[in-house]
Amino acid sequence: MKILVCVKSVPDRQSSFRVNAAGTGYEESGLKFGVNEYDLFAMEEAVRIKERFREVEITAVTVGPPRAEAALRKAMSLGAADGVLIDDSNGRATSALAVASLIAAWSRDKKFDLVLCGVLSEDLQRGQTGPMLAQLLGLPCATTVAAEKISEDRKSITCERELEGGMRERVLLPLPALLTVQSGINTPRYASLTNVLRVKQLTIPSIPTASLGEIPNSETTLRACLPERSAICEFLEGDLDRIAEQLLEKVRARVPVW
Amino acid sequence: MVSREILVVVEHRAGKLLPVSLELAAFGRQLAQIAGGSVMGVVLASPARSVAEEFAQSSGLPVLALENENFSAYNAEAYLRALARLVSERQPAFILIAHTAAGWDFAPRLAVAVSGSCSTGVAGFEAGVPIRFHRAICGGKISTEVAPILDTVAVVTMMPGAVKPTEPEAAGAVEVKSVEAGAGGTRALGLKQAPPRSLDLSRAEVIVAAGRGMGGPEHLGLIRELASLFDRGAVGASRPVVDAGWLPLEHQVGMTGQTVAPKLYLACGISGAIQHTMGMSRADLIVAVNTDPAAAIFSAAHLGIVQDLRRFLPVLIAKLRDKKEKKL
Ligand SMILES: Cc1cc2nc3c(=O)[nH]c(=O)nc-3n(C[C@H](O)[C@H](O)[C@H](O)COP(=O)(O)OP(=O)(O)OC[C@H]3O[C@@H](n4cnc5c(N)ncnc54)[C@H](O)[C@@H]3O)c2cc1C
Repeated sequence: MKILVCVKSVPDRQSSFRVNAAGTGYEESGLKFGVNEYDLFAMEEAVRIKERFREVEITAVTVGPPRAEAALRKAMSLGAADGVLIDDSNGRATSALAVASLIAAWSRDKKFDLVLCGVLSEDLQRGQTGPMLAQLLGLPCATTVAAEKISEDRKSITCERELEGGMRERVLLPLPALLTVQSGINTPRYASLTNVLRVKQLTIPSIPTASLGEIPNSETTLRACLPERSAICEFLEGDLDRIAEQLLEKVRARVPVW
Repeated sequence: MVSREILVVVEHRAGKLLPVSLELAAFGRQLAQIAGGSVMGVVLASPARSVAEEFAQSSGLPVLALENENFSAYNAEAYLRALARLVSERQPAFILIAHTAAGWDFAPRLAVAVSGSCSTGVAGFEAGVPIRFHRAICGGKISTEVAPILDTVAVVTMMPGAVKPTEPEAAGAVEVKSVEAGAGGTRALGLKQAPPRSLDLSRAEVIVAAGRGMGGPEHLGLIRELASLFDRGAVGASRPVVDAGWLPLEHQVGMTGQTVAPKLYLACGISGAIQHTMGMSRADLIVAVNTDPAAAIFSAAHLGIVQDLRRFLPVLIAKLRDKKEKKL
């Protein structure tokens, strides 16, 4: 069985973001990047499937600039046998359709039995790449998957999709299929130091986007800006004692809850 | 030139219309005022008439109800087949879908299937040519305006709560049609209710909610202690706190947890992601404590405190306890 896990290199959540010079997104320089958290849940799920069935091979793929290699190394230290960088150094893959089309063009003849993606990326939060990739590859798809089980005969997969309010929806898909994995589906493990050191040595193949055909786009970002500071929020200042005092006074005046 | 239609995909579950559908209807109407064109609801259900009539009545929009046995529960493949055909027949300008577990499941695939543009999780729009949709990125720290890029249909998913429903003037007309909609091998196996919970956050008057910024389960004592100082206080949590097993699911607030409206909501170390705030924005008074002055939670809060929780909460707890003892 062959599993493909799609990963993305994203900036640390805690970053202070600035708008880029073009005014169409966030400025990448100066940010610390790591693997999109949802993709780590997808990666862990792949490793668990590998532990359950023998002869499972996991490949990780990413579309991004060369720095995204670090995300692949992380996936490899966790159990992916290979990592492939679809090198978009010139940043042409701006929409989810572009990213999905590149992965589809590269993976089409590779016969993966299961493709796993994170539910969405922490930075752009579009949640489109996974389902678009499924559609381009003609695969059935389930998003926001909170539990999955592959049948003994490996012909189908039963998924629990998370709905609003904690309800779940069960759905059966024939394999091959694509799932987008929700946080909390498992507890991702840490990579062993041996593995981290081992994958450091490996060369990661890089595929230029130009070799993968046309890059279609499905959306354009015309403007990015810092959100206006909310007018309703009053910030309390001073030393801790003073802040606590003010807070209790203000709370008491507005909502008498003690 | 005749403006092309705006289609609104009605969301329902187990035969009941979901409130987000009426928000979508209002969104469609607002969009039509700018872009022109008429707005029509599309119901995919089996049977479809009662949901379609309910929507036509409460939204005032005309409804096309498509019936197929594969629509008796949400089925992505069946939805895609039927909607792709509808789009090619009617060539709408926009197809509006709720950004919900069902909506984000089929919307991006539909966009690919009909070679349309796709924008997800939008919270509003800017009039103009082209129309620009607002959406937040980077956990709400950056706002963006995105626009469809293709002159075919634009598939757009709208954040629940982004638009207020409007009162209809008169019920819209309903047409029910049976359609083909194969599901391939995809089979809906039914709903699983949320596990029963012993904690009903909706009854709490005060919710002290812990986020990932608490730093670990060993610091949750501060949250519990503070919550216990109120007569009807309870402990809430953001999703990562539950995912990591620091607190059970019944504490989770937000899109996939509980929706609450207490008198006081104290968000401790919570960044303010929309999936969290949509579950607590109706609280009477929202207080946020966070070390990051740029955190999106401060756009939802009434009172903001930029401090380290682990230093601030002990001071707050001591002070509140003191006030209660002295009956201040
Ligand atoms: C489909 C879907 C459904 C979801 N449903 C939900 C849901 O129901 N509920 C929910 O909450 N989330 C939900 N999420 C997740 C949501 O998008 C966010 O990831 C989540 O809310 C973030 O939780 P957080 O704020 O606790 O963590 P983070 O985003 O990591 O924020 C932690 C915050 O703590 C602050 N902090 C750190 N240290 C300190 C300190 N010492 N003192 C003070 N502040 C500190 C940081 O500045 C930061 O702002 C959902 C996501 C998806 C994709």
